[in-house]
Formats: sequence, C-alpha cells, structure tokens
Amino acid sequence: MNEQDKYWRALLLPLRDDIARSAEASDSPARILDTLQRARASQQRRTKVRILFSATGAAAAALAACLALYVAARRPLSPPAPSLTRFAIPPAAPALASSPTAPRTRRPARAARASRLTFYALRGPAAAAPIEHGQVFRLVVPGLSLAEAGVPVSPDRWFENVQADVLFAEDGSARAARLVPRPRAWSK
Amino acid sequence: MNSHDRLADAELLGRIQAGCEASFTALYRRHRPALFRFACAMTGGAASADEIVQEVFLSLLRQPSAWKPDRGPLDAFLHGIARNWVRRAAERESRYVPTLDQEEVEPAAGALDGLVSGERAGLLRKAVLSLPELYREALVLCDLEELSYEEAARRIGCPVGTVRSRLSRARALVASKLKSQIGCAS
Repeated sequence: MNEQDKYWRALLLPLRDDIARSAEASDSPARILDTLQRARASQQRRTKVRILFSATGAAAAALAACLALYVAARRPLSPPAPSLTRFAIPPAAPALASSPTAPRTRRPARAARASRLTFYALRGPAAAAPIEHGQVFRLVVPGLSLAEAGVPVSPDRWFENVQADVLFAEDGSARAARLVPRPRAWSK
Repeated sequence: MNSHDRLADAELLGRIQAGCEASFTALYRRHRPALFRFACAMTGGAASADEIVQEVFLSLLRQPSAWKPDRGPLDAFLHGIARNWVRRAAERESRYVPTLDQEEVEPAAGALDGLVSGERAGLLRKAVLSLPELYREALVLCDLEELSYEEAARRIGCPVGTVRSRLSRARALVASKLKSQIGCAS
C-alpha cells in the first residue's frame, strides 16, 4: 500500500464510518434474517412436497406397470372364437349332470332348462384323468354318436346332425358334452 | 461465538442444505456486514443495501450448489451476486427522476476539513455516487473495503492493471467533484 492509498483511505474514512453506523443502526438484519429463514423453511417444505409427489407418482407408475403386466399375462395369445367359452371344471367329476353342489334355482322352468344344458362326462380311456382347464367348442355331430358317448339324446334325433358343446381338455381329448337344444322356431 | 462460527463456509453451506438453521444464521452474520457495506456504498442507501443483501442470500438459498469451493471463496461469490443486484438496482433507479424534496441541500461549510463528520460523509457519498459504476466499484473495493488490488481484481473479474487505472480515474473524478462542491459552497 503506497502513500496515495493511505491518503485516500483516510479521506474516505468518514464515509466508511457513516456506512458502518447505518449498518449497525439498522434493525433490518434481524428482519431480513427472519425473512430469509422463512424463505428457507418454505423452500424446504416445497422440496418435501416435491419429493412426496415424485414418490407417489413413481409408486403409481409402478402399480400401473404391474397391473398392465398382470393383464397382459392373463390375456390369451389369440382371441377365442365367438362361440367358445373358457372355464375350469373340477377334476374327475363323475356325473356333472347330478352334481349335489349345483346351485339351486328359484324357478322350476329355469331349473329344467339348466338340467338340459348340463354337461355329461364322456366315456373313454382318458375320462378319469383330471384336467385343470378346458375349452368348449360348439360342434355339429351325429345325434347317435353323441348318444353312444353318454349324452342323453332323444331317439328321434339319433339320425340327424345335432349341435353339441364339447369340452376338450388341455391334452386335446373330449371329456364332456351337452346337447344344444333346438331353437324354439325349430321345435314347433 | 458458538460452534457454528468456527466452521468453514463450505461446511456451513452443507449443513444449511441439510436443514440446519443455526448454520444459516452463522453464515448470514459472517458475510452480511461486508455485503451491506459494499451495497450501501454502491447504491448510497441503507434500504437498497438491505434489499440487495436479502436478494443475495435468497439466491444462495435457492441454488446453494451454484457455489463451487474450488473456484473461489464464498465471499467473492456472494460479492458477485451483489454486484449483479447493484446493477439491477441502478437500472431500476435510473427510470426515476429525483424530485426537489429529495435533493439534498449543499453543505454551507467552506472546506472539507471544516465540515462536521456527517457533512463530510454526505459530500463524500455524493461524490462517490456520481462516479460511473466501474470506477465507483474500484474505489469502493480498494479504498472503502480496503481490499488489495489483487483481491479487488479477482472480485471484479479483470486484470490488476485495470483495477489500478480505474481506481486512479475514480480518485481523480472524486477529487474534482469535491473541489467543485466545496468551491460552490464557499
């Protein structure tokens, strides 16, 4: 520091003191500090809320992804034919027609219709093997063949082609069948 | 002096980010006086200086990671923010024209030595505020804040020779202002 620096610092000393006095006299430091601390607290709250929203969003996205994967896993690879129904049946049901656990119906007419639509176990070498899942196909078969396989068919329909729902096991063998009743217009 | 006052700036800032309120208070108390002096000398008003100091610390709160310890000390970083806010305040103030009530009356004393301390300070303040910003900054940092030329150059972001030339020019302008003011008054 040279002499000129010393001179100027001395010359500006009153201004420096004046500024220092105003800094000390001001009550604003406490006020500003309070403002800043409130701003900091608000910022921290915003940060917490942001973190909370992010976490919630991530959890929702993960849940949606899991749901999508679950739905995709349960959907069959190829869409089923319109006439097919997919369901599970208990293994080795001897006589599906007379199941004691069948739900009771309120109206006799509906019960009769239900008994007509009941599946009958087919005779055959694989009839006793349990199955987990099956697929039902609506087929047109000779009435006599259906009667020989164990499905009660009226004798007047033995020599005509009838519609039947046939249950195929996952190994491809036919396990049960039911006769599809004629439409009402036909029966008249 | 509590335990926070002995911590380095980087450590205090880390604790602030972790939510320590006492660390923020310690950091504020450590750097506020210098920032206030600089802002007050540059703007000429305690209210503006308070506002600038507040904005500087708010900027630090909003983006504490903006300061890199390896690029310089925290006070230089805060000073840089304060410079920007001083510039903005000057731009804002330049849109207004002072009314007659706001204009100060010239001191009646005949010479600088004969003035009382408050009047001398007022004259000096007026002379300093009349300087262009670049010269005023050099004068404030070197003669009021008593920083070395090297430190002032670091804070302004220019070579030391530039600081010297600006300071020399600022002193000459202040001297001429003071002479004219005292001459007018006498």
